[in-house]
Amino acid sequence: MDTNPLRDTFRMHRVPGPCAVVIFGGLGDLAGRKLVPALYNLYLRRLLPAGFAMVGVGRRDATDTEYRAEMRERCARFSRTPVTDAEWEGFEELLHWVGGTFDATETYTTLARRLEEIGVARGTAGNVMFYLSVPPSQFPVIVDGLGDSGLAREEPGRFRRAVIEKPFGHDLPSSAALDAEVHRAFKESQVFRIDHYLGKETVQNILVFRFANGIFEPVWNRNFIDHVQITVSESIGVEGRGKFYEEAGALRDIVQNHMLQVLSFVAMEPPSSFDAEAVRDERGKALASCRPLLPSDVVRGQYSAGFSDGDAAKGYRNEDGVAPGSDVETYIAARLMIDNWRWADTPFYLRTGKRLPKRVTEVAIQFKRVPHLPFSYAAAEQLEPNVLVLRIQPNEGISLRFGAKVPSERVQIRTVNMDFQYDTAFSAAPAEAYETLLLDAMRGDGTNFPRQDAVNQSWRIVEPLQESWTRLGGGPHLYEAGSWGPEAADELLARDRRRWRRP
Amino acid sequence: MTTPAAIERELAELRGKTAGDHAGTRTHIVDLVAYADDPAIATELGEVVAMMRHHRPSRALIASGAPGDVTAEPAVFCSPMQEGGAIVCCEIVRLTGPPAGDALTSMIASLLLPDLPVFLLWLSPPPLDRPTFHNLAALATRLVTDSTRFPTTLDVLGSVARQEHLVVTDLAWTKITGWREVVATIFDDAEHAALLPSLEHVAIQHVAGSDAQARLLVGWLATASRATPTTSIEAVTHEDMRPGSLVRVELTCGGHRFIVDRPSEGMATIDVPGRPIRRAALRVPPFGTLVGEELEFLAPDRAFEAALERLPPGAR
Repeated sequence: MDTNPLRDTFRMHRVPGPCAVVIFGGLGDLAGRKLVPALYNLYLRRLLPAGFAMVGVGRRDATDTEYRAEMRERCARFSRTPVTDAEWEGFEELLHWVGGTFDATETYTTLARRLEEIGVARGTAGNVMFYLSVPPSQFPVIVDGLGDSGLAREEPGRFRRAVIEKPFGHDLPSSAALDAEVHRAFKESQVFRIDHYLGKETVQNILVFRFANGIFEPVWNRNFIDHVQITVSESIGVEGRGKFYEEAGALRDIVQNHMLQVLSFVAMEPPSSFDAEAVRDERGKALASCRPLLPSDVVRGQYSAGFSDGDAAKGYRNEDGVAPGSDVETYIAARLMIDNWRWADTPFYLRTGKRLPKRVTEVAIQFKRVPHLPFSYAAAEQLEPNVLVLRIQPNEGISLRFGAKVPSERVQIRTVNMDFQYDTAFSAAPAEAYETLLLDAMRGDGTNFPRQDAVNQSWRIVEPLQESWTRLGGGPHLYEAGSWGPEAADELLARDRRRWRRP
Repeated sequence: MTTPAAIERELAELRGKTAGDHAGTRTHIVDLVAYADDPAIATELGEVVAMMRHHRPSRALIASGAPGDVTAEPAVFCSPMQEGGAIVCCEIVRLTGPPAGDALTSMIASLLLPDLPVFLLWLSPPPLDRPTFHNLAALATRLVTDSTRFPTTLDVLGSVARQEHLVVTDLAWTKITGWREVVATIFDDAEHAALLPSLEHVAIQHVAGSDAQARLLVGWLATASRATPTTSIEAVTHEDMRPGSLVRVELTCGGHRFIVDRPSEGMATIDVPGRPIRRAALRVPPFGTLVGEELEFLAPDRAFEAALERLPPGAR
């Protein structure tokens, strides 16, 4: 591909080399909602290689034709681009189905045979990316199947990759065990761990914002920054995923992965290049510098009945699939310290929850006040510290709060916002995170995939909490659905003479 | 007699009325200046910009020649860029004024939003000897033409770029990006890439009406392959496709024939010897989308400039 002189990079995108993508759980929710629609959109954008095929694997006994019909229906519902006959006909030829249970040897024998046939017909050159879109309990079974059948084995000029979805274990030992399982068949360089937050344009833009501009990095440290607040709030409840949530909770569902990954982008040192390993090294170092979270620095909450988005909302314990006496947290507020030269004594406050007033993901960097204010108290009474907000979703953008003189004959200062919105500057609809990540994995670019060291570090950070909650018990603070969380979370910041932003 | 200050006031009022609570939010991408002698084309351009969903210019100044004083019709169009996204406004000012002289161009210069790149959309062949064109080109970062509508444009673009020190581009080139991507896939594997320097013949069929896209594709293939292929360009009738659209590209290379065929809008077939026929998505975007896409690019497009140097002769 690199030798093709017709591929100029000005208008044409970089297309991966030939490969087949095998999706275990090919009829599952993620495959139908995200993965196949993402591949369809890549096809429309001509970003799939000429030698490409997709094979779904699952228990159902179905023909290729039946599988294609079902995927068309899912794409019609979930694709960001409408499905049309002309385009779908070309795309559906690329879709295939292999039925079988994941623990049966013959499933892998059949898969190997189909991949061989499809590879010849479609020119996939023997390259295969296995996407494990299945519950974590199935990972070891599938990895063993791929390992034992020889399907995971790479040969010169032929890659084999495994893409796995979070959660990567449920604590440090289980994560390490899972990692060991995966490594029985795949080397680390073959493994791509998906955290879809890292596929979001605005998360990736944190690096550009920090390291492509001269004005921010000089003040991006403890000398100028008072503290950082990272908020991931949702207005929805568990939405029928009560059973899953009972096992995960906010700590495992959001904090351990999404939030700590976002934190690593904010806290990392400049990488020497934008190379995948250089970026992942720096993110890993940032996480390695984080102190473990102590129960005294964390508030956990659970929503009770209230109103959300104008409608009555039931409490968590009344949700389907949730135990009536459940102590699982739907909210976490935490104070996290990073022990390194850049961030010593600068707290990072993390807050995530369900049934909060609105859906927001943002990073707010609050700067220190000026050392001396040469204005009267009355003039500066309404002045608040400068805050730089990186909005990740919705209304992706960046805003800066600063003081300005209120127009009048006297000096009075008020805080105003300078706002940059992505969609007013770059109006093209951004690609879905899964399109970006699938393409990156096909290209073998691991920049936006957490490495196992980062996963281990994030489990290390949250481990004391899990232990303490298990050992000491004690339930979460209740907060009303539609509120910004329990009062104890406000007290957590009040202890430091700070307060939460209202996003 | 209108003034820039009066137009700015009217635009601010319109923004307030149109966008409601979101007054004042406008795109910060580019200024677009369009000129057409034909008022019908100017009207069409205004409608196209107003309908743009993505890549909207911040302000579009669409001018056409008419006797008398300069007149202006400001308008503001606001809508969310994405579902659930912020409402964003685009300002369009229709200007008319004397086709010769400085009145129109001075008004345009006053109305440009500061510190934004300026795209000059001049669809007809750029008249190098005309002061209006020269003055507008002096304001512009990039010139966008459309040789599908005016095929002779292709033959003057090189000299325009040199004389006006302008980055030039052509919507006919934007239209064939998809075609270039599909043709390029044939040579993604090393075996076929090795055949490219021996490109012997390029045969292209296009819908009658303009051979500009076909000539650009040949120019691109010749420069990228570093070969000197013979060429045949044939106009055909195809009622479902727009004039000038490419229908079939056949490459003879090292004794092999590679064929890309577009039997219908949205889909192409790719025939590579010894391989099953493949299909690829190939839909040429509508005019407004093409203009919008072009607003993304600021740097010179070296592949386009090189293709201009190797164009086969056009149909007479």
